[in-house]
Amino acid sequence: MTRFIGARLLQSALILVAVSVVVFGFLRLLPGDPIAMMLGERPHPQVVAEIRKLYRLDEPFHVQYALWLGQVARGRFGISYITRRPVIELIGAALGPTLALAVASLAIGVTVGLVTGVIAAVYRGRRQDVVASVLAFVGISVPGFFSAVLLIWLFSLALGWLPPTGYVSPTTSLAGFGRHLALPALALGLILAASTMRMIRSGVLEVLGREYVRTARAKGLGEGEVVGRHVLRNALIPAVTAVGLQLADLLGGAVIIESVFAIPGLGRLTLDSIFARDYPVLQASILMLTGIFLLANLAADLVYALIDPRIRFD
Amino acid sequence: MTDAVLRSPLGRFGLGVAALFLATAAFAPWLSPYDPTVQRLGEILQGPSRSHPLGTDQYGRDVLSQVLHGGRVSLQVALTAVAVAGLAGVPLGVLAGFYGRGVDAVLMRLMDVVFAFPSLLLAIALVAFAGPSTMTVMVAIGAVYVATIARITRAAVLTVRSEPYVEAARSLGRGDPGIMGRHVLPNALAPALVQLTLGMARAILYEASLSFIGLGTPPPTPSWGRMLAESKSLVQLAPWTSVTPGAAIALVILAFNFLGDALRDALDPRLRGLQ
Repeated sequence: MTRFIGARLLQSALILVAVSVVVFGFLRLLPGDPIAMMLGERPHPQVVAEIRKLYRLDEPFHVQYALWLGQVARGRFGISYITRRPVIELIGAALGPTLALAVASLAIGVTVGLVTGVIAAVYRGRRQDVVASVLAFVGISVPGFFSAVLLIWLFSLALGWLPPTGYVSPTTSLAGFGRHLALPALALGLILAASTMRMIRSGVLEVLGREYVRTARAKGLGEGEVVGRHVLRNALIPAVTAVGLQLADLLGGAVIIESVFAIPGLGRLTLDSIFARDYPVLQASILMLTGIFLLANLAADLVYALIDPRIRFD
Repeated sequence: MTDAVLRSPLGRFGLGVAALFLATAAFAPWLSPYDPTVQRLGEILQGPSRSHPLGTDQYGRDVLSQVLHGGRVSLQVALTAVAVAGLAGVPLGVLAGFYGRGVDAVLMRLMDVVFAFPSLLLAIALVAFAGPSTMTVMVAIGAVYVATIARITRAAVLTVRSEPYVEAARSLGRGDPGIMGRHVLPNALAPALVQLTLGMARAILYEASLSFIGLGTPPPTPSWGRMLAESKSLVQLAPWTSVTPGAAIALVILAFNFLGDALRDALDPRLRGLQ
């Protein structure tokens, strides 16, 4: 087990290095001159040269990469070209909202997906199953940004229950935090719920056909106990797989959802820095999102090993 | 295969809507009542009526004509992206699966790096790199999907390559290219076909997402994602402006998902009803 964790950690670190080369390389080749963005339309050539030197943009590619990596290793992601604030501060401020959105969406997705998936499987082929399955198909097909617009329409504009956009930190106001997070988490969570439901349903169906389930029934256990004690535990394994597979969609979706709801998270930081050609911020935020993705994948693998003693990864 | 797809109600629905989408996108210039880009400032935000069946937007443009033309962008992007993914992913997967060892290790480690990015984020980064244009969006979405197709094809090739008929072909003196093309590929293509159909849904979703955040097809070409982005603040005032493009995206994605699922069931009867 320790060896497995070590190997997976090493693998993740190697991938992160590869990713950093890709990120650094791609963004260095981006069109548009960041210095022009900083200094406006007609900067003095000498000022441009000074700034190129100051930020060492005149060095060759590999030197720039090495310099950048050295800084990154010390937790220094540089200074934003636009706001002149340290990138690490911007990332730090954006991390909280994104993690809050991701965790809340995951919670909604897993809970709704688990409950509806089990119901659909237990009532296979009957009305409950058909309704749940069709809803799941709709759920995976409606884009998050469209359901976001519909949710804002219903809960903010028509009913006036929840604020349409914005974000409040939980340290400022816990109620405000919840009220602002509800709609974005729902928009993102329902997509996850739909695909989780489909995987749980097929997982439970497969387990229901196993012999130990027949044995459990034969020894007189009620259906609730059969499902609760024998089926669900085994069906949790595909649930973890489902969540693992959806992490990419979760983070990608968060970028879009943050922009709809004006949440000051990593996704918005990424998009804003793309439009402003703020390289240091863009590099750091993409690296951070990818890092979170790798770590979350690693966590999913470990949970997998914990809940299924048959999996030992050696 | 077609019969099996048509036998399931969801497959029929998927095929029907997909065909309708292809036809309306292809014939949009002839079906549209108006030029989708012409602004009529005297007719802004009109509700559905006889002259504008789906109303007009905040610039007085006809929503029906915009949706029909927006479908062209979605279709163009999705078909090209899926073609890129298929033409690059399938050969890569066949090579990796067939030769194994070094080739396999190198290709699959490369794919691991692609998989290390959340796919939409990678598409966003690629478009940011090359600048928003329909071509960039198509290639970016296709490139992201190459890894998925390659991995799935590789897995299928791994099971096919040790089949007796491959051995037989080899003992008859056929070379590697002949064996791969005539024996391995046809028998390992099914999972990729399913995945490419589902890929149409994903490509349409990604194109809409990129357009929605302003990184898709540039204006004035109508695209569903941008229509929704431009009209989202008007959803209560003029719901037809945002609900129409949103529903179009959802319906077409739903159709390709149904179609992909029906295709999977048709190609692999063991999975029927499980997924």
